Amino acid sequence: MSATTLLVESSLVLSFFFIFLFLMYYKYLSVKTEVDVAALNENYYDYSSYLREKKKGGGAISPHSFIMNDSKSIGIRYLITSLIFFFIAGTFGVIMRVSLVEPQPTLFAHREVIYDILTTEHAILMIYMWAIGSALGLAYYLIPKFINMKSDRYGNASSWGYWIWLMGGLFILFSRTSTRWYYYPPLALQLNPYGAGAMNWLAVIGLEFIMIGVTIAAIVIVRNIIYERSDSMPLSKMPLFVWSVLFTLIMFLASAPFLMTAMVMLFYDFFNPVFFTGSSSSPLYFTELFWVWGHPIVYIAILPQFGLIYEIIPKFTGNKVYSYSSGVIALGLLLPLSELVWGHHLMESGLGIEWGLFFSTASFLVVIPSAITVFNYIGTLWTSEKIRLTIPMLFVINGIMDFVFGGITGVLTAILPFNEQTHGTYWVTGHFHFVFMGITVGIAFAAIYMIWPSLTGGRIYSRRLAGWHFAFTSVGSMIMSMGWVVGGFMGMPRFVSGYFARYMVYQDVAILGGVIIGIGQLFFLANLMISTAKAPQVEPSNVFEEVYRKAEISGGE
Amino acid sequence: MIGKTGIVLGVLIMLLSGLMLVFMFDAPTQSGGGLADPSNLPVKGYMNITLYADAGGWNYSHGAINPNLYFPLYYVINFTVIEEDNLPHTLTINQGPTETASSLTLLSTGQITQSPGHVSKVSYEFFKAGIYTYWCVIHPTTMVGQIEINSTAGNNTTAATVSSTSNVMIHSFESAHDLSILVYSDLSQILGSIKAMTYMVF
Amino acid sequence: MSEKNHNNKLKAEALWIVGFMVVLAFAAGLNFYITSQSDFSIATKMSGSNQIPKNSTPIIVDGYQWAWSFTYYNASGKQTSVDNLNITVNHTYTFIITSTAGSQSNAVIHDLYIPQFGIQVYAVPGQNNTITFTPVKTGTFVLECVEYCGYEHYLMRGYVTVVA
Repeated sequence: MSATTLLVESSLVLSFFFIFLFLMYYKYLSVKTEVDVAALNENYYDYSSYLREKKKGGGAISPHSFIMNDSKSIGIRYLITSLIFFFIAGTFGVIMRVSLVEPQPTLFAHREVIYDILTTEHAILMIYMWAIGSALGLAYYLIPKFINMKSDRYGNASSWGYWIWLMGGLFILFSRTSTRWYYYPPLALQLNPYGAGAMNWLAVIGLEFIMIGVTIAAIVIVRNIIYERSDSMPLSKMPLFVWSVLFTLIMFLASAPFLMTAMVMLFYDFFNPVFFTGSSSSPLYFTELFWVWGHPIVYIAILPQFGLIYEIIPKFTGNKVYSYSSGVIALGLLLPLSELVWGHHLMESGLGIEWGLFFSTASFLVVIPSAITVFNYIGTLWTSEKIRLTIPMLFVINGIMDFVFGGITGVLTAILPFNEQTHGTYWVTGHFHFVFMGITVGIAFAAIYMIWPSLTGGRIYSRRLAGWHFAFTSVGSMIMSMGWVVGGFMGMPRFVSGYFARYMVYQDVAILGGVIIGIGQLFFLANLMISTAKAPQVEPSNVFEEVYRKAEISGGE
Repeated sequence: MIGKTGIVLGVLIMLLSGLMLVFMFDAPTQSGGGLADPSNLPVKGYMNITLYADAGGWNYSHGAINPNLYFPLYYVINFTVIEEDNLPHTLTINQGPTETASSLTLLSTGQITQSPGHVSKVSYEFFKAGIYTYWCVIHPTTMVGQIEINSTAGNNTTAATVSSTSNVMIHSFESAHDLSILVYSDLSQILGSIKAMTYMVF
Repeated sequence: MSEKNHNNKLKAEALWIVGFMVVLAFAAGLNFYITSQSDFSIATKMSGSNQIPKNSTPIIVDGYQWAWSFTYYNASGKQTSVDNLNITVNHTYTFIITSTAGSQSNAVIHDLYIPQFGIQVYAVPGQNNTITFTPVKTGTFVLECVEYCGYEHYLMRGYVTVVA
């Protein structure tokens, strides 16, 4: 075959390919126009929401949500993805916990770095893919109904945000990095398995992608809340969940640039180390930049769930939220205060007493809004005549209790001498697992159980399985975090694949708790599979959204 | 149809969790295929070897192409690589008779610059006996040869000068780039292959 | 729910919040009080204004991947020990801590922690941090690295022996 023949043949094949592409595009356009017209006639604001509600079962989990760009479909995308990542990262967590059963490395003997990889992946995926992902998913899913959205625009941008976020998560997963979730250089720059893992540069890009994706989602949601809110709903009557999402995302947009800048500089340092490891710079510059973002992120991971608690309690007590205004003020106060406390993660890095006292006092201040929120919950429960202890309500009560435990263990570390004793130990791990297991995981599952009929197209979950899920999660997290808190106070260091034998009892208690949590999540999976296999039993609607369908009812009701 | 979706999602979650766990277990736990020199190795002596880097093969126009090299154990081998053509090359070694992915790049494309006659040097001490492969990641089919490391010193040495045993306990690489070899070897390999692709396109 | 009941609970809520703030203020005050004590010491960057206390013995601590080395001078000259520190009870010591490159050629951030002494200080490349402490009991205590620093981070630990 001569070169000319080859050229002619390949040109022909290419032409056919392009003609085929054109036909596909023509077909797509005509179908879309048809659906657009139908949607317009039926008074839907765009074709995807028309398709979803008319053809595809109305907001249920299905692969269709990955190609349709209305808010609800995007919410389902986020929920599905974050659930998948929750189970992936959870498996890592259970396995690495089991590997600590003896003081010497057992499961990962002679390849201890696997433990570090699992820990890092567990942390990054849980925070950025599960906590942020599930919060964004619930926000996308619930907010259109909560604010009676006028029109559902910018779905395309939201879709881009989702895919970029997902790509970032996959990058981090595939990078198998063993830097900690805070990427401290120079370790993050040490590109071999003895340091941060050969592919850590991919994790840096991945985190940057996640931030870009979440930024897009944040802008779209904030815009929707401000501009697309129903005219019958002034800000003063906006549901507390919407307030919490609004504050969360503004907090995100205010603090994310610090991390994004730091990540770009860190990536530059791979090639030309000037920013953090140069002769006139210090790796501590990065740690400061990171924690300006790193402290707000922990509020970003729990604030939407705080709002959900405000929404769930009235449903099962028949009572208004105790104080709507103090709820909004408390959520809003966290916004400026959380930006002032980054230094309490770095008190042992040589800040000295003066700066240490500044940050520790600021950390005391940031507790006050959280306390107001908790007292508000307790007030709501207290003034109600009857509390129905359904599964979501159990998760809420457990979450409030866990948050009190986590809050107290957290605020104690703000005391300088106490910080010297507990920083870098399992005390801190226990503190944030109290909060994350109780609030982030527990309330997200409570909300998923509440919108279960909508998610599954009219199925109801098995109360028995959900009860086991709740019991295992709450008991397991209590055992695990308690073991850590006590062991950490005795000086048990975090992030080690082997430890002094004196800490074995605390580690083994924590392993017991961790395995219980792991088994508990299997009940959730079983529930999902069993209940969706049955025929639909109820209307695909849920108590969350039905309340806000009626425009006149709003606020905390 | 939602029924199937729920089950598929559940199975997918379990499958992906297991798959990702296996993927993490498979993470590299050592760099350079375990060939990076540990510190404080005993040094029995020094040997010099010169290789000419040419896309047609190592030492393409200098005697036998891709010569088999024989070195004794615990000798510091001073590699001198001289660029012959203006193509990018690397000097990469790995254990075993053929090329494997877990390898150590002694000289990267950045160090063997693409100007003919450029001399780059690196020292490496073999601390495990056996068959090794030395190759160029850009030209893995043509530029590949074998190294045999004998545990008995001084046998079958080719193209090498045995110098007297010295008392130096810790050896260091001659090249000023010794740090970057260890630390950035993986990154430079990737960059090297990207560069090679660019050369193939243009 | 009656209006009276609600008002009672409003009082309780206000009381809680005020009580909580009092507890916080007490904790913050305690914080200021303890840190003003002369025997309190926290990791501080060494600079012109921050010098080693006169009555204390300096110990130069060097963290590298993956061990701690302690260097100090006593009657028999310069002493160096790795992952092991022998000190005397009721004597004041000052750690001067930094991080250097070890066998892996990378100086990274470490964090020296002696739980029973309640002291902790970062080892940062290119920076000297100081912390002062006085052991008051004899015995063997543990020291650990609590900032992840690579493959064998968990082995970066050792013992402090306090003798009479």
